[in-house]
Amino acid sequence: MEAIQVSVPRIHPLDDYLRTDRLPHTLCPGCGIGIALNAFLRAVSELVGEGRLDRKNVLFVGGIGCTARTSMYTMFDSAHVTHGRAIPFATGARLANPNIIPVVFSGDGDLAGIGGNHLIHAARRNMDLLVVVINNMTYGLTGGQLSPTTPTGHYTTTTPYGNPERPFNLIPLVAAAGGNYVARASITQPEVMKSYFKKALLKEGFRLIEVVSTCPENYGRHLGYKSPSDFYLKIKGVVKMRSGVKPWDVKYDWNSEITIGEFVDRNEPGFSRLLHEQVRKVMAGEN
Amino acid sequence: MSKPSPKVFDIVTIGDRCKECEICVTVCPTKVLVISDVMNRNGYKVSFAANPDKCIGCKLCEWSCPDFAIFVRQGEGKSRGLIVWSSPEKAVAR
Ligand code: SF4
Ligand code: SF4
Repeated sequence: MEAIQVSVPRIHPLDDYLRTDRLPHTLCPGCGIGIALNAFLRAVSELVGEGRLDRKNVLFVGGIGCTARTSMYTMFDSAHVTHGRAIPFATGARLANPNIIPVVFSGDGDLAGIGGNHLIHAARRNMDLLVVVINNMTYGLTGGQLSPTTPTGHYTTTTPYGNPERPFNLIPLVAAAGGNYVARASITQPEVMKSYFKKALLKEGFRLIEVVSTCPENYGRHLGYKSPSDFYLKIKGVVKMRSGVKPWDVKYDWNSEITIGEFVDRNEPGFSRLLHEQVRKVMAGEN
Repeated sequence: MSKPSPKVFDIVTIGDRCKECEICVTVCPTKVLVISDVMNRNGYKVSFAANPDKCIGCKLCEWSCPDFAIFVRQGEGKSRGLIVWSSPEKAVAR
C-alpha cells in the first residue's frame, strides 16, 4: 500500500461546489446528510454541465440543525438562518429577485417541527422554493431528542421509555397543502435521489423532496445500531420504491415500509410569477 | 504506451477527509474496500481499495461517502487503490 502525497486542494469531482478549506465537515462519521448533499451537488453539477442551470442563481439556505450546517460548506450564495426560518428567508429572497433559485436544505426538526407552519403555508402558496427535508427522525445537533417524524415506540433522549406519539408523514401533508412536486428519496439510492433533485431544481412552484436519512451517533445508538452501516442497512431494507401511488397511500412505517418515489408532479403557476404579474398590472393601471 | 482502458480504475481515498465510517466498505458490491491501518491526523483509519482488480467502476462508494473522501476515476494499465492528501501538512506517512 502506498500513501501518495498530492498537494491539489480540488481533487474530488464535487470539490468545485464545496468550500474545501473547511473540510472535513462537522457531521459525525457515516451521517446520511453527507450522502444527500453529495447527490444534491451532483444534480447541480450535471445541470450546470448541461447548460440548464446557472450556479450563480442558486441560493442555498439552512435553518438550524445538522443538515442546515451544510450551508457552511457549499460553494453557493448560502445562508444559515434562525431555527425554522429558512423558508421565510428563501421566500423573501425569491420575491425580491425572481432569478434566484432558492434551495432550502434543512432537517425534519427545523422544517417539520420548529418551522412546520412555514412549510405548509409555503406549499399552500405554491411558493417557488425547492425544500429538501433530510429526515433523520431526530433533533441530532442537540443530542437526539424526539422530533415530529420520530416513529412511534422509538427510544430517544427525551423518550427513554419509547415514543408514545404518532409521527408526521410529510408526503400526504405537503401534497394536501398544495405543492407542485412532492417526492421522497432515500440515502440508500443516491442515483434516484439525484434524478429527483435534477427535476425539482428546474420546476416552478413549491417542490418538496424528503430524504430518508440516518443519524448514527445521537439516534442510531439509542435504537441499538452499533455502526453507521447497521443503520444504513436498516434504512435500505425498510424503504420501498413505488410508482403511481397516491400521496395518501404513501407509508411511513418503521416496521413495515417507508414508501419512496415521486407522488405529486403538477405544473401550476408559482406564487412569484402570479405576484409579479399582478404588480405589473397594477402599475399599468389595468387592475 | 498504456491507454486508458474502460475496465481499469483508480480508487482514490482522500486521507484527511475520511472518518472511518465504513459506509463505502459496506456498499461496495465486489468487496474492493477495506479500512486500512493508515491513521489520519484526526485519529481515523482511512479506507483503502485493497482489491482494486475487483472494481467494476459502479462508483457506489463515491456516491455514498458522506465526507467526499473517496472517488473513482478511469485508470491506466491496471487498477490501483490510492490514498492521497489535500495538502502536504495533512499527509501521514505509512
Ligand atoms: S466503484 Fe463500485 S466496485 Fe469500485 S470500489 Fe467503488 S463501490 Fe466498489
Ligand atoms: S471513504 Fe468515506 S465512506 Fe469510506 S470510510 Fe472514509 S468517510 Fe466513510
